[in-house]
Amino acid sequence: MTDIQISAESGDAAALAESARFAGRRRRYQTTVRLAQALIVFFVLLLWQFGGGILFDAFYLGSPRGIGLILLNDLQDPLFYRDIRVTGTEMALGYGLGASLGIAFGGIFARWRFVADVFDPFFVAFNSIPRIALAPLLVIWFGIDTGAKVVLAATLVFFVTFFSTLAGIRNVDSALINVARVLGVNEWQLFFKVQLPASLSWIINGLRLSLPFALIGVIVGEFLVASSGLGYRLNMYSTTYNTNGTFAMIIVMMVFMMCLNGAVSFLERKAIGRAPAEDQSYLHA
Amino acid sequence: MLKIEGLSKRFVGADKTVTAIDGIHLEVSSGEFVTMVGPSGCGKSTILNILSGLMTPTLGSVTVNGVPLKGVTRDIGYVTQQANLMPWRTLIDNVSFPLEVSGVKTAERQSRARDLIKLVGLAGFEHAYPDQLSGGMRQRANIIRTMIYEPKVILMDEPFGPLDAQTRVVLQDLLLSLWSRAKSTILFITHDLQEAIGLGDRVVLLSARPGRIASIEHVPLPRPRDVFKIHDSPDFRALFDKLWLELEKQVRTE
Ligand SMILES: Nc1ncnc2c1ncn2[C@@H]1O[C@H](COP(=O)(O)OP(=O)(O)OP(=O)(O)O)[C@@H](O)[C@H]1O
Ligand SMILES: [Mg+2]
Repeated sequence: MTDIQISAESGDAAALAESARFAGRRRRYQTTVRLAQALIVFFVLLLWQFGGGILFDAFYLGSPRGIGLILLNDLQDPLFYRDIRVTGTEMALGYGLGASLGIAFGGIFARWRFVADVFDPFFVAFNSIPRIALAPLLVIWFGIDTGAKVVLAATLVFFVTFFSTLAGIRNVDSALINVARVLGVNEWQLFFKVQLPASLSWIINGLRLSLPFALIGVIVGEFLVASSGLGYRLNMYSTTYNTNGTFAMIIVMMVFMMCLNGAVSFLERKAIGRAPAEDQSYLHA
Repeated sequence: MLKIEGLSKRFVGADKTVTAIDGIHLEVSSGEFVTMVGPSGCGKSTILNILSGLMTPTLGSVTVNGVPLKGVTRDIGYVTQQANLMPWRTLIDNVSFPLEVSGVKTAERQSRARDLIKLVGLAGFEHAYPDQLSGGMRQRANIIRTMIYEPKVILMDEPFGPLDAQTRVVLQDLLLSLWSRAKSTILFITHDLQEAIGLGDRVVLLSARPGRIASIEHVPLPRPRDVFKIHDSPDFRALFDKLWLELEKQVRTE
């Protein structure tokens, strides 16, 4: 009896030690990866800063220092924050509108075969329109303020979430659906308790993939007509051949997008409820 | 109680039609445990798919207590070969799912699920997800998910098919005790003749495709049965040998 307990304990200890070894190896590996990344950034910045005039013309490529100065300057400009707020608001509205309609229509189409068959060609046709070509019309319909940009972003986001929701629900294992039917679900429960949760990862994937489209839609809209927003600022810098300013805005948008992506990943983990089983191999960090 | 009359199913494909089953007649009385064996592809699953209401027969009728069967019904449960648990639900939420959809209060359905989970030896795993359970554990969950809402008839399609020999016997024993407790009517399909005799009151032998009833044997073994030792009984041996010959004939004609 005691023997067994002791050996069980030492078994646990061995397992703990093993997982600690794995964790240690993974940490060391990750540090190496980060280090390599930092080195790459460092050398690119070095080359960019001191290569101007020797390797390339700084007029076309700007310089990290110049970009930094503009960023510092912009960060003290209240109008810059207004522009971020404007772009952010338009993006949030466009994304929210497009994504909720996309998921709703994806659900309806997946559940309602007749509607899907009838409307399929129209959706494909509409999705084939380069959205930028729609922009002038949208401006006429929704004005030069928020409206046109929100709608432009929404038309882009809509299709991405729509198609992934549709595909997700259609791909739900039919055995699971049959089992649920036998267990007594009604159509409503089948949708909300089986089809929707079963396709959640597809839907979240659609939400993540469509996020950059929301920014693209808004920026393009601001580029065409606007008196505020990051796209407007970008346009302002580029039309005055201010390469550093243009780069600075590109960096701002990049960081902006990365923050949003991080937020979506966070929500994704929350929604799925638990992290997928962790891979013990330190090669996939 | 369960009455199957002239049941036939023909699948029409692009280039050929397959007659899966042809003129099945069977009456199962209340509380009876009937097992079905037959060569692979003879239409066993097709019969259960029809009885569950998921598939319509080409010909024939099914009645439960005199009421014709139309589509799926809570009177008939179906335990499939694959556990088909919902991967996003924990064990207890999977098991209590049928009660959830019929509107049973959370506290009650949790306690009923907990009782069954304990009964089949899964206590402690209530909050595990299906991918954290072994095949045998998942199959136990699959069975009690059907038992929990007490359907009058339970159909089982090779529920122990993918399991190893020891787990099979343990689960056979478990199934018999669940059955004697719930007093449900069971129609159980298997490839395994020993399993068919060990569990059933009657064994239905199906012919090679198209599936017809080749013979029906009454199992003369007393209950409660000990599935761990039952193979030693001479009555078991005799029936096994008899059915084995029949089955061999059916497999040969394929
Ligand atoms: N949906 C379907 N469409 C066309 N043919 C089918 C369909 N389902 C089954 N069949 C055919 O019907 C026959 C019987 O199939 P079924 O799955 O009922 O056999 P089974 O007895 O359960 O076999 P096994 O023991 O291998 O599980 C097979 O020949 C199969 O190809
Ligand atoms: Mg089968």
